[in-house]
Amino acid sequence: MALLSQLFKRPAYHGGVEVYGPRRPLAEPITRIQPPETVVIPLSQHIGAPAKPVVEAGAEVEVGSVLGEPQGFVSTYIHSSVKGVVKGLVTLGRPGGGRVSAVEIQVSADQPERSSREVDWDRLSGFTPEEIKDKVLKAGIVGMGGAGFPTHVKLSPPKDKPIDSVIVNACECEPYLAADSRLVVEAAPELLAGLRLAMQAVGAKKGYIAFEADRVEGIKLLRQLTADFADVEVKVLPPKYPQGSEKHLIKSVLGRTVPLGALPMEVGALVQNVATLISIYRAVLYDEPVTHRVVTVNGGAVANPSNFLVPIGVPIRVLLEAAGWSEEDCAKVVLGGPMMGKTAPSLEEPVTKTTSGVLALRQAELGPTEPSPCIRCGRCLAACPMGLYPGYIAEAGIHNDLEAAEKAGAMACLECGCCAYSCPGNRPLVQEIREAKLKIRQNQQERKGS
Amino acid sequence: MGRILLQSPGPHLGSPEQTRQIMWLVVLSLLPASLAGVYFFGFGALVVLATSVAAAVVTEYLWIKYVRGKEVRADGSAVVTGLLLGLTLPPGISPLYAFIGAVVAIILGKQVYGGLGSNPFNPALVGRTFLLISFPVVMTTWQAPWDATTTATPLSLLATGGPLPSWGQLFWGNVGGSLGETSVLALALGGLYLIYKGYIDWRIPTGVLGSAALFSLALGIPVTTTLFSGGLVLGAFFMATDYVTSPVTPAGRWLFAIGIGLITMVIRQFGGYPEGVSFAILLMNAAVPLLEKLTWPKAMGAVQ
Amino acid sequence: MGVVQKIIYAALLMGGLGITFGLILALVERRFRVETDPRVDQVEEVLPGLNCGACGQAGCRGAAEAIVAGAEVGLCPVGGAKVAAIIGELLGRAAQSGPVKKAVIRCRPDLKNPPIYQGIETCLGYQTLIGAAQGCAYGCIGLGDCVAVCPVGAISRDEEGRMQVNEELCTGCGLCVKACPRSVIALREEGEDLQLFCLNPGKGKEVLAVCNSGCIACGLCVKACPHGAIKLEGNLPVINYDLCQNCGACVRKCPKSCLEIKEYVAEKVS
Repeated sequence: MALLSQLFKRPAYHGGVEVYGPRRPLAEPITRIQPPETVVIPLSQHIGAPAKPVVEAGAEVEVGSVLGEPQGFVSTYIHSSVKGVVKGLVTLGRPGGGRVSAVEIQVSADQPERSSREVDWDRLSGFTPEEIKDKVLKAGIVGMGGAGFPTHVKLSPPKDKPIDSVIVNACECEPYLAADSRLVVEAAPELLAGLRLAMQAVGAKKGYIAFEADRVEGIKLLRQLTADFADVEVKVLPPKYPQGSEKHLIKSVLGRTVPLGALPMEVGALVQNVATLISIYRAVLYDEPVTHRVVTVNGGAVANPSNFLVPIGVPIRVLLEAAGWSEEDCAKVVLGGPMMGKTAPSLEEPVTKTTSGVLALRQAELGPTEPSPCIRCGRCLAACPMGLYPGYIAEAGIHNDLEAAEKAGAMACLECGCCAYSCPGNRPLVQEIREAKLKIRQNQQERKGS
Repeated sequence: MGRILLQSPGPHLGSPEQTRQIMWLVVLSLLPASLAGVYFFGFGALVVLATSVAAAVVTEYLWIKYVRGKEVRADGSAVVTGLLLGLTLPPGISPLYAFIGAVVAIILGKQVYGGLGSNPFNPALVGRTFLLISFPVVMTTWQAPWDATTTATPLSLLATGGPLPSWGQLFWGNVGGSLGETSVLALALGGLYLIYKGYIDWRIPTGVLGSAALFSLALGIPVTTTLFSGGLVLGAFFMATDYVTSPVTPAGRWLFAIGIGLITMVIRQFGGYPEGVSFAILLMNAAVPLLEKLTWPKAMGAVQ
Repeated sequence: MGVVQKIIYAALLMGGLGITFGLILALVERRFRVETDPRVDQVEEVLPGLNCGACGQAGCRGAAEAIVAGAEVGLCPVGGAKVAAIIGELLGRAAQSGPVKKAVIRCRPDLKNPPIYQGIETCLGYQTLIGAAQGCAYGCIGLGDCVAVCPVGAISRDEEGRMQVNEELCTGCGLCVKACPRSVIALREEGEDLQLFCLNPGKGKEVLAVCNSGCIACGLCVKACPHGAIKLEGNLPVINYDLCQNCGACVRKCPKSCLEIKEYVAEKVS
C-alpha cells in the first residue's frame, strides 16, 4: 500500500522525467568476472590530481598493492586489483584532449578469492573521525556513483559547515542500471555499517536511506534492519529521474534547498553512494582498498543483462562478452547510464572505480538523432529539475551570447539530460549547454588571469 | 584494432515525442471540425480546405528549396497552417482567396522570420487577417448550413440585436460562421484529445474560455452564447495553443490566455468587429516576449 | 464638406503634423547632441567594417575610438598596412609596419580509423567529446570552427576535404588561431616557407597506427638537408629558418610528404 502511494506521489522538485521501457536486472545476483590476461588501471579515476605512479615495469603486485600515490589533498591512492607483474605504464587519451597514465599489469594465473566481510558492529564505534578519514584515503575511496570525488575530502567539510544528516543514495535513478540496487540486497549489513562510519566521521546525528519506490526488495530488507535504529530512517521516493541527484535527494528527503552554486554541506547534508559506503566499511574495518566494483551490463543488444563484480582495469569487452552481447545489433556502447553516461572510446576501455554500467544499445532504443528547429514547445523547461529554461541557454550558447547564457543559469545546469530527452526536435541541448559552460569558464579564467 | 565505437553526447535514449508526430496529431484532431464543416456547408467547403492546405504546402516547399536553398523536411507544420487557415474562412468563399491567404500565411507569417520556430505571429491568423482587411466583403459573407443562401453569424446577430440560435444549435454547429468554427462539439473533441495526449497545454483553453466566460457573466451575456459562437473555441484550442507563438512558461501561458479572452470580449462588445479572436490572439502574440520575461522560471536554490 | 475639401484638410493636417514633429526632432537633436570627436567617425569610415573583433575592441566603432584615443594606427589586422597608412595620414601619426603574418593549418589528416562523431558540428564540440580518446589527438578535426570565425573567408576546404588557407585573402588577424581547440593553426611570416604538416609528437609506430600522412620521425629530412637547417626534437622536425634555403631536399626525401614549401603570398591588392 505504501509503495502504491509513493508511486503516485509527486517529487519534491520541479521537472524530471519518467523514463519507461528500459528494464533493470534487479533480480540478477552479482556474479564475479575473472580478469583476462592483462588489465589496465588508470592512475586517474577521480576528480582532482592524478595519482603519481610508484611502481615500475617488472614489479610484482598483489591484490591491493599501491600503484599510485595521491598528489595533493584532492587526490587519492590507486591500487592493483589483481595479482600479477607490472608490464609498464601506458597513456590513455581522454575527451577534452587530456591524457591519463595507466598501469598495465600481466595477470597471474592464480588469483586470490575475494573475502566476504562479516559486520563486526561492536568495533565500529571505536574509530575516530580522523582514523576513518585516513583509512578512507589510504583505501583510495572515491564517489562510486559516477562523480569520482575523493571521499576523504567529502568527509572533511570545514568546521563552519557542520553536517547533521547523511543520506544514502540507493535510488539509482539512471535507467538500465541495477548495480547499487543489487548491492543493497546482497550486502545490506555492510551498507549500514558504512553509513554508521560516515555518520561518525562527520558527526551527523541522522542517517537516511533513500530508495525509488520500485526497489521493493531493498526497501523491505532495510526497513527490517533499521527497525531498531532510532537515528536511521528509510525514505521511499517517487521513481522519477533524476531523483538520485544530490540536490534533489536533499530536497526530497530533508526538505532543504541547496543554494545555487553551493554544495550540500551548506545545508548540513552529505550524500553518499551505496558502493562508496560499503567500500568505507571494508576499508575502515579490514583495511581493504577499492579494487573491485559492481557493474551492470544491459541494453537491447545484450542477451543476458547481468550484474558483475569486476576487478578494476578489466576491459569492457570482457563484460559485454560475458553478458552475451550481439556486436552486430549494437549501435552504441555507453559507460554509465543512458542519461548521463558517455560513449565508450573503445572496447578496450578499462572498468574504473566510477563505472556503474556498460550498455550496448540498439538503434531502436536510441531513437532518431536528426535535429529539427526548436518549436518553443517548452518541454525542456517543464523537464528541467533545476528550474532553468534549457532551450534558451542552449540557443544563447550557440550564438555566443555568454552573458545571457550565464544570467539564465547555465552554470547551475547538472547536465542531467532531462531537457534533451524531452525535446521533440532531438536538439543536442546538453552538448550545447556544456559548450556554453566551457566558454563561460574560459572567460572567467581569462578575466582572473588578466 | 577492434571496432570503432560511435561517439555522441548523451542522453542515449530516444525521445518519447517527435515534432513530426505532434504536427500530424494536431492535423488528426482537426479532422472532426473539418468533417463537420464539409457536412454543414457542402463540397465547396472541402475545396476551400483542400486549396488552403495545398497552397500552404507548395508555398513552403518552394520557399525552403529555392529561396533558402535548404533541404525540405516534411514536418507537417505547413499542413497545420493551411488547415487552420481554411477552417477560419467563410465556407462559400472562392478558393482563390484560400490560395492567396495560404501563400501570405506561409511567407509573411512564417518564412520571412526564418521558418519553423522563428515566427512571432500565428501564421494562419496572419493569413486570415490579411484577407479580412484586404477583402472585407468576401470575408464577411456567410452561408447558412446546407444551402447557399447568405446568412448572418450568431455574433453579428448579437451585435445587431437579432434573434439568437439556441445553445444547442451553437454547440452542434447548425449555424452560420466560418468553415470550421461552427461545430463546438467537433472542435472540443479534437481539442480535448490534444490535451489528454499532452500536446497542448490545458492552461490556454481554460484561460481563454474562462476569462471570456467571466467577462460575459459580468456583463450579463449568456455564457453559452459567448463560448459557443464565433471562433472562440477554435482559437482557444488550436490557435492560441500554437507552441511557437505562445509563451514557454506555464504562468506566462495563463496570462497569455486570459489576455486573449479579455481582448476578444472587449472587441466583441465595444469594438467595430463582431468577432475579435483573431485580433486578440495576434495582439497577445506580440506580448509573448514580455510575458516570458515576467514569468521567467526560478532556478532551484536561487536567491529571489 | 465636399470630398476635395476633406482631402485638402487631411493633407494640411498630416503635413502640418509632419513638419512640427520634424522641427521638434531637429531641435532636440541640437539640444541633446553628444559631442564626439569627428575623427572617430573618419577613422571608422576607413576601417573594414567587419566588426570581427580581431583587434580586441568592441567592433570597428570601438577600434576607431581606441585609435583616436592613442592606440596604434595599425590596430586593425584585417585592414593591414594599407588602412594603417590612411589612418596615420588622417591623424598625423606614423604607421608602424610589421611583417604581415599568414595563417597556416599544420595538418592534412588521413586517419586510418576515422572516429564516427554524432553531435554538434563544431571542432570544439568534437574536441570536448572525443578529444584524445580516438584518432589523432593533435590533428585538424575539420569541422570548420576556423572557417566560421575568419572575417575575410580565407579558409576553405580543398578537393580532398582538408582545410586550407587562401593566403591572398588572409590578413593574419589570428582569430582562427584562437578558435582552433587543438592549436593546429599558426601564423607564419614571409621567409618561413618550409612548413611541416604534422603536430603529433608520438613515436613513429604510434603515429603510423593512427594516420597515413603523419610524421614518423624517421629523420630522413635531417640527413637530407645540406644546410643543417632541420633537427628532430620530440619526434618532430624543427626548422631553423635562418639556415633554410628552400632547396627542397627534405621535401623530396620525406616518405610521408609531411614537408612542403609553401611560398608566401602577399595580400591581394584590392
